[in-house]
Amino acid sequence: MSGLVITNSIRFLILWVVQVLVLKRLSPGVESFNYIHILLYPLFIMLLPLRTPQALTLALSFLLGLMVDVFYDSPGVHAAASVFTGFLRGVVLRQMEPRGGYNVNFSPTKERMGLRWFAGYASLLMLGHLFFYFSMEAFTFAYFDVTLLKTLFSFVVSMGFVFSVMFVFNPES
Amino acid sequence: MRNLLEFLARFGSFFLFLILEALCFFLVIRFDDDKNRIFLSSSNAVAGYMLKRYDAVADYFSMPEQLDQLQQENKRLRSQLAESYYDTASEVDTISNEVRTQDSIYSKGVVLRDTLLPQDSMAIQVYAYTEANVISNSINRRNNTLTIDRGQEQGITPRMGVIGPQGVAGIVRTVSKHYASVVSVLHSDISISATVKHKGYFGALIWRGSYPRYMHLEAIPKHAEIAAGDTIVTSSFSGIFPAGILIGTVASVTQNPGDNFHNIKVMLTSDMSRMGRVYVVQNKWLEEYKQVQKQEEDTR
Repeated sequence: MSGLVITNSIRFLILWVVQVLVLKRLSPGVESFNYIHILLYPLFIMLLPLRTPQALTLALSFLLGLMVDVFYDSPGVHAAASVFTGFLRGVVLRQMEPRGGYNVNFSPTKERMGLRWFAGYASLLMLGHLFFYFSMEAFTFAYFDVTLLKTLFSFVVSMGFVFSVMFVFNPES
Repeated sequence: MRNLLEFLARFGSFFLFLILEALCFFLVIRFDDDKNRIFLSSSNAVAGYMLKRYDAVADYFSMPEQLDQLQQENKRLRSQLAESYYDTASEVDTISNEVRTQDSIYSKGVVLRDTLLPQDSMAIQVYAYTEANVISNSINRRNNTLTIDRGQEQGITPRMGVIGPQGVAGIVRTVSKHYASVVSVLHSDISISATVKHKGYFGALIWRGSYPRYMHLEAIPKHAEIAAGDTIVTSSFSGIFPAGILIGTVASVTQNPGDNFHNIKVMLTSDMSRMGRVYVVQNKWLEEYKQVQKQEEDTR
C-alpha cells in the first residue's frame, strides 16, 4: 500500500519535472510547422492504481495539470485537460474491463494488461487529453482545423514517448 | 439523508469533475487579473529558480549562436556611432523639405544628430535598459511567453518593453522579486504600435497564431503606399518602446475586397526561437506621459 503511494508520488514528480523542464523546450524547431507538442505527463493519470477512488484521481489530475500550467504560463489550460483525462479514465476503464474483471491492486500497465489492451487504453486517454488541451488553448472552435491537426501530430509524437517509457522501464505497478 | 448520501456516492465524482473544470475555466478567463496572476505564473520564485538552474546548463549549447547575435548587434550599433559618419550637416541644410524625407543623406544626418545628442548637456535620458537572460521560452503555442531572470529588485515593473539583439521580443506582464514573465510578440494579447520607416504610416502589430516568424500590421488604410521589403519599426505612441526599434520587414501586402485596410504580413527580424540575452526597456517618463494622455481624455 505505502509502496504504491511512494511509486506514484515519485512518478508524479519525475513526469512533472521532465515535462516542464525538458519536453517544454523540445518544441520541434521547424518554423512553419508548429503542430507538435510533446505531452508525457498524462502517463501519470493512465498509470494510477486501478483502485484509486475517482475523486482522488480527479484531484491528483488537477494538481498535476496546475503544476504544469505554472511553467507553461497558462493557468487552467493543462489543468482542465488533466481533469478531463482523469474523468475519461474512469469511463474508458469501465468500457475496457476484461472478462473476469481487473485485479484492482495494480496499475493498468503494459506488463499487467498486455500490449494491445494498453495501446488502446493509452491512445484513447491521450487523444482525449490532447483534443481537450488544444481546444482550451485556442478557447474557440473557430480554429477547429488547426486544433485537429495539432491533436493528430502531437498524438503520434506523444504516444511515441509513452511507449518508449513503457518499453524502457516496463513498470509492473 | 440516506438518499442524499447515496446520490453523492453515485454521482459525487461527476460533480467534482464539473467543479474542477469550472475552476479551470475560471482560471483561464480570469488570467488577465493582475493581482492573482503572479502565483500561477512561471515568474513565481520556485518556478523561476528551477528554470534558471536548468537554463544555466542548456545555455552552453546555444552559446556560439548567442555570441553571433551579440556581434551582429554590436556591428549595427557601431555603424551608428558618430565617428562612422562623415559630417554632411552643411549639405543637409541646403536641401529642400520634400527631398529630405526620402534622401539617404538626410537620414544619415538624423542618425548623426541623434548620436551626438547624448554628449550634449541638454539631452536627458528617457529610456533606460536592463540586461536579462531568457530562462524559459516557447514559440509553438497560441499564447507564448518568455521568463527572464530580472524582477522587482532590478526595477522591473509590468508593461515594460523587452527587446532582443535583433528586435522587439515582448512586453513584461508579471513580476516577482527576482523574475518576470514576458508576453512574447507571439501571443494573442500582444498589440505593438508600429510605423513604416520613412513613410510614417502607423498601425498595430498583432499575431494571428500559426507562424512564429510572421505578424500582421493592422489599421493601415488602403491609400497608403506600402510595398514588400519596407522596414517596420516601433513607434513611441504606447510609451513602452522607444521609437525606431527594429521589428521586421513587410513580407506581403494584400487587399481584401470590402475592407478599407491593407492586409500586411510582416516578417520578424528576430528569431523568437533563439532568444538568449535580452534588454528590458524602462521609460522613465511613462507616468508623466500617461498622465497627460489621461488629462486629455478627462477634458473631453
